[in-house]
Amino acid sequence: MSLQRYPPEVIAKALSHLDGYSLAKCRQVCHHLSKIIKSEVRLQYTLELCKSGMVDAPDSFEKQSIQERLDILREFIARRQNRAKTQNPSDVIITLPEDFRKAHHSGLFVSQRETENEVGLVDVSNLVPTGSKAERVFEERRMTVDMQLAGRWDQNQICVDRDQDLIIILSGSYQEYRQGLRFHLFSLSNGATHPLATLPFISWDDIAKRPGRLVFQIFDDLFVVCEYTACEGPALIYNWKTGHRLLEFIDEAQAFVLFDSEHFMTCTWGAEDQCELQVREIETSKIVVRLSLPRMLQKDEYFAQAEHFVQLLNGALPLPSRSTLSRQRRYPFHASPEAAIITLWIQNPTSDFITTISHSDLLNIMHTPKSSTDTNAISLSWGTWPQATFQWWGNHQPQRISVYGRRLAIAADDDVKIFEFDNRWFKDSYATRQVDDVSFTCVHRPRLVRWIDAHEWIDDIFLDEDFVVVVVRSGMTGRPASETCIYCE
Amino acid sequence: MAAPATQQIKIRCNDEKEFTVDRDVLERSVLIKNMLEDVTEQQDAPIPLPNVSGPVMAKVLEYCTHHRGEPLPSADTEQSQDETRKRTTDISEWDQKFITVDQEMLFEIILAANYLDIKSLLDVGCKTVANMIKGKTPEEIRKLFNIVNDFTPEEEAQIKKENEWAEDR
Repeated sequence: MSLQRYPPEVIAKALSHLDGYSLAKCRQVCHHLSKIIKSEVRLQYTLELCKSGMVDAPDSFEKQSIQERLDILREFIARRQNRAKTQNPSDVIITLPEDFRKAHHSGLFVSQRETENEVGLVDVSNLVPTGSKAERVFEERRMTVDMQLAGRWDQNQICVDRDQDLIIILSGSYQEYRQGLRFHLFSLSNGATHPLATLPFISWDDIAKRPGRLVFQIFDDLFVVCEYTACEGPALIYNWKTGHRLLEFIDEAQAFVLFDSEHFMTCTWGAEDQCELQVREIETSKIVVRLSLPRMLQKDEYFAQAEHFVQLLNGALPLPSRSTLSRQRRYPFHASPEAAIITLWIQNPTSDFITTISHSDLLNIMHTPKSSTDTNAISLSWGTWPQATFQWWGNHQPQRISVYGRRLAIAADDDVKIFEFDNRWFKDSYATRQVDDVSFTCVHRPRLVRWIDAHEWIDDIFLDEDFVVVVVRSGMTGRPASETCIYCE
Repeated sequence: MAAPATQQIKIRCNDEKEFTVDRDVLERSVLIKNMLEDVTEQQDAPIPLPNVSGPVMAKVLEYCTHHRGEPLPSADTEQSQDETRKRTTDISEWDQKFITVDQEMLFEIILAANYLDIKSLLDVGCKTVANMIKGKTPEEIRKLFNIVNDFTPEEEAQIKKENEWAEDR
C-alpha cells in the first residue's frame, strides 16, 4: 500500500501528533511526505521550533496565527545566524553602575535607585563587541514611578519583563514582618502605572517563615515569589493579571524556578550525594522529569535533611485567557530569557555556615574535563561523573545555573561553562516523560576574561540569546557588585 | 438531547450493506448528526454513506457504541487542540485494543472518521499512526508503510544533511 492513496490533509493530521524530531525523520522518507510537511504550516512550525531548541507558548499567543509565529521564528533564527556570522567571538567586560543587578531581562538591567520612586535602567542588549576585548560603561536611564511605599526598599524586590513592558516592584521589607507585601506594576517604557493595577496584598506569613532572600520571576501571565532561606519557605505562583494564586508549593527545595508556562523546576539536596532537579507541572504538581547530579556542596548535618517534597495544593486554577492587554512581544515561543532562565541556587544556606566551616570541609563536586578536548563535545551524564575527575572548588560560594532554550550555563567560582542539552532532554521529558539520565554536551567554554579574586565570587549568571552575563560580587560580606561581565559567545 | 435514545436510524454503506442503529450512537458522527437535524420528518429511507464500506462502518459503530453517552467535544478551538496534542499521545486501554487492526483497516478507519467527522476516533487513529512512526529512522518508516524511496542520491544526501540535527546522538 502507499500513503499516496490517502488525502494529504489526513496524513497531515496524523503527523501533527509527532514531535519535531520525528517530523525530521518523516521528511527524509519520500517526496510525498516531505511535501506534506512543507505545505502544512503547523508541521513546519513544530519542526523549526524543535530545530532551534525553542518551545511554543500556545496559551499566550492566541492572537497570533501559526503562520505569524513561524515567520517570527524564522526572523529570529535568521538574525541569530547572521549575528553569529558577523561577530567574532569575543569577551566583554562591561561596568555597570553600581548595584545594577537586581533584575535582568533580555539584556536589560533594572534596579531601584537611591530615592524610592526611581528606577534605573541599563540596556546592554544591543551590545556589539568590538575586537577581542572591550570595556565599556553603559548609560543609565532613570525613570520615576509613582508609588506609595508601604515600607522600605529591600533587596531583590523588583522584577521585569521586557516583552510585556512590565516592571513589578514589591514594597514592604523584611524588617516589617507582620505587614503585607504589596506588588506594584508599572510600564517599563514610561513608568506609568500598569492598567492591571496591583497584585493582591500578600501577607508576609504567606511567603516567608523567616527572613531570607526573596526571589521573583515573571513569565507570561505567571508570577512567582519564593523565598530562598535554607530548606524552607513556600513558593507561590500567581497569575498577575487576575491575582489568582495558582500554586503554593512547600518543599525543602533550595531553588524554585519557572521552567515554562506549564512547568516549574526545583532543586533539592537528597540524603545521598545527590542534588536532585525536578521539573513539575504547575497545574498538578506532578513530576515530569527527575534528574540527579552530584551534590556540589556537602555537609551532612546540614543537608541530610531535604529528602522529599511535601505537596500541597492540587486543585490549581485554570489559566484564564488573556485578552485585555496588548503588548509587544517579540517571540511567541519560549526561551524568553527570565522565563527560561533558570537560576538555580546551589549554595550553602546561611552566612553562619560560611563563617564557621572552613573551605576544606566543603566538598565541591563539579566535573572539569581534564582532557584536551574540553572545549568541544564532551558528553557527560548527570549522576555518572567519574569520581576521579571530581575536583575541589576551594570556595563555598553559590553555584549558578541558567537555562536558555536548550542551552545550560553553569558558573562555579571562577569558571563558566555552557552546555547544550542532549536532544533527549526535550524529547524524553515532553514526549515520554521518563528520564533516567540526561546527558548534555559541553559546547562552549567562554574564555576567562578576568580572574576572580579570592574575595570575589560569581553571584549570578544569565544565559541569554547570544551572551552570558556573569555578575561578580566581592567581599565576604557581600558588598555591592564590583563588576558585571558579559561573555559573548 | 431531545431525541429519545430508542429512535432507530438506518444507514447504507457503499457496498449496499445496511445498519440499523440507535440515533444517539450515530450522532457521535457530526456529519450524520447534522444530516439528522436537517431532516425533521421521520424517514424510512436509509442514509447513504458513499464513502464508507460495510466492514469499516461495523468497526466505526463498535467505537461509537462503546463511547455513546460521552459528551461530544464541543466545537473546539485550535487552542485546546494544541493543548491536547502537546500533552499526550496516550490512548485509553479500550481504544488501544479497538485500534489494534491491520494497517489497511487503520487507515480506512481514519478516513471514515475524517469523513463522518468523529473527532475522537480520528484522534485515536492519528495518534496510533504517530506512535508507529515515533522513534523510527526514515528507512524504518519506509519499511513500515511500504514506501519507495523516490529521492535521488543527491537529494537524499542533501535532505539528510538538512536534518542532521535530529539524528540521535
